[in-house]
Amino acid sequence: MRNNSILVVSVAALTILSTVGIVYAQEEVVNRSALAWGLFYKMMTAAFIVGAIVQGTLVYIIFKFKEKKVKARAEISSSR
Amino acid sequence: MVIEVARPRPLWQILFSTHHTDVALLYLITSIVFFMLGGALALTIRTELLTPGTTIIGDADLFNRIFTVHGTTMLFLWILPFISGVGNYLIPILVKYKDMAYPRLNAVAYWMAVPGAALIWLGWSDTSWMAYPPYSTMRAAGPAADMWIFGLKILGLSSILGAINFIVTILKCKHPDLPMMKTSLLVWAILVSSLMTLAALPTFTAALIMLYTDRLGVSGFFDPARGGDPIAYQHLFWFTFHPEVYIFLIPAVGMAYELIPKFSRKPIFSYGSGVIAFLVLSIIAFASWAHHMLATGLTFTEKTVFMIGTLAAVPMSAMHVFNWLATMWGGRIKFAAPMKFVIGGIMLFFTSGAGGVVNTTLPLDFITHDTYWVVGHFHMMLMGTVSFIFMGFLYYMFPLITGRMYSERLANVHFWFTFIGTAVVFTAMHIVGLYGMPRRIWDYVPDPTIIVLNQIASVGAYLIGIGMIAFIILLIRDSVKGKPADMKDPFGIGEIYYDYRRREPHH
Repeated sequence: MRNNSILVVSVAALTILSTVGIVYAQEEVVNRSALAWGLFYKMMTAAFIVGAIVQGTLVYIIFKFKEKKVKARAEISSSR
Repeated sequence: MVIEVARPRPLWQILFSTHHTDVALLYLITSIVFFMLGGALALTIRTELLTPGTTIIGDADLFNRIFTVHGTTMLFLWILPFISGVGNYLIPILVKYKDMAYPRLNAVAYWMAVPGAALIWLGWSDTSWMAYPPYSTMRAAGPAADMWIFGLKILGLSSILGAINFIVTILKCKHPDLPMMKTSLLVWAILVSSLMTLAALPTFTAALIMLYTDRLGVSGFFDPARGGDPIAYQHLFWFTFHPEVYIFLIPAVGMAYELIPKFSRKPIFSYGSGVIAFLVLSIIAFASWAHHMLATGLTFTEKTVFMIGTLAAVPMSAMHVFNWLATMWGGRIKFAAPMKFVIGGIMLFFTSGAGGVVNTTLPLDFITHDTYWVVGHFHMMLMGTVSFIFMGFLYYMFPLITGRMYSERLANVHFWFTFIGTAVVFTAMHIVGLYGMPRRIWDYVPDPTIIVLNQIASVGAYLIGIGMIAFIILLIRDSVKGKPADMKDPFGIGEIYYDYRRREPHH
């Protein structure tokens, strides 16, 4: 019985406190446009980083493994 | 084989032939002609947008007609016929069969495309290539819009017939000693895209009938006053045309798989992952159609499902890119024109893919929706990736088709002008979209930044135009006067070229 009373009082207190909190809460202004643009910049930053890695690898491959370069490398290694 | 072009033949023998290489030649010539015509319309659009107000096009209605025919031409008369052309040439060779499974049906599919194209070009519709109602059902002027509907219907039927032919040729006519997992990835690509065509296109075919009966006033499928819903058309349209994007892309990816190992002189890094990525992409393609409609009032749950469905394509696309990079790594790469175009395509593929991730992310879609960002995004994909790989593959097939070699110097001019132009025009479109410039407009706000960005985009388009002039000169001149190619290994890469003399069927 005593446990039930404590439970009821606790739930009531939580309900009242949260209601009071909501009623007297300061008005929060959500600028959706700013949020969306913020997300845009974050995603573009991520995209540019991933892009730089992938494109950088591609450019590296183009220069490292092009026909002339590989031939030249083979000649150097064979002369050694 | 196509080398037969080198031998003088009466034109009617090619026109009325049912042999796969003749039909393929017709498809390729048709697609290249329309690529140039569509490109000329694109240059007209970019010239009009060079300055705010009237530049060269007198009224908005004509502008609408030009971009409608441009879009329809590039998608249905350049990309699809090119895929059919390459498939017709190579699928019988790659699966070691004498011809396509149904040669007559093959020729019928090609000849259906001709009246389809004529209806679109003679009608000159102003509905845009999407033909959304209510404009297309209530306001669009006939007979232009009706001709567009019938033109697309015929082209759709032609695609379905072509797809059936490819599927049967690959699955039923493949040489019994050639396991499916030993065939070229281009064969897989054509198979997957043909299966997708069969699954996707009937929906649009139905939508076109509904659109037409709505225009006639005998139904009200898309008319709210008669209990219909214009948004329903968008669902039907995108159920076909989002998968269609992959129907355009997957064969291009297959062509890249055909070229990269050969010009890197290395086997494909992971054949299995390529097949898996094709199959998974083909399924995912059907799970993302409504990402084109995130601004049409879908529920949050629906939007989230389609956003996740779209993002699921990213790992599969990445698998292809990593597969290509790993194949090239450690190779001895020959940068002939086919390889240059493929690498250019891969570079632009990443840019367009990153733009696509932004489009499908819910809050960001509202920033980019219906702006020039979207125009930049899909052009970067279709011109920057798909068309680049197609042009590279055309260079690769040039000796097979003509028996001659093209001029590498002129091909270089073509590549660099087109590559720089493509990067400039479509990057500028992305940025001008972020400044809020809406798409499909004839005039725009005379804001200095928007004007400059439009002018940069137009300069990029002119660079592409210069590249294309070099391409046309090369195609015509070298087809007739190019040096005879060494048909065993025309590119000097130590790879066996296609068996151009093969005649005998395997049974």
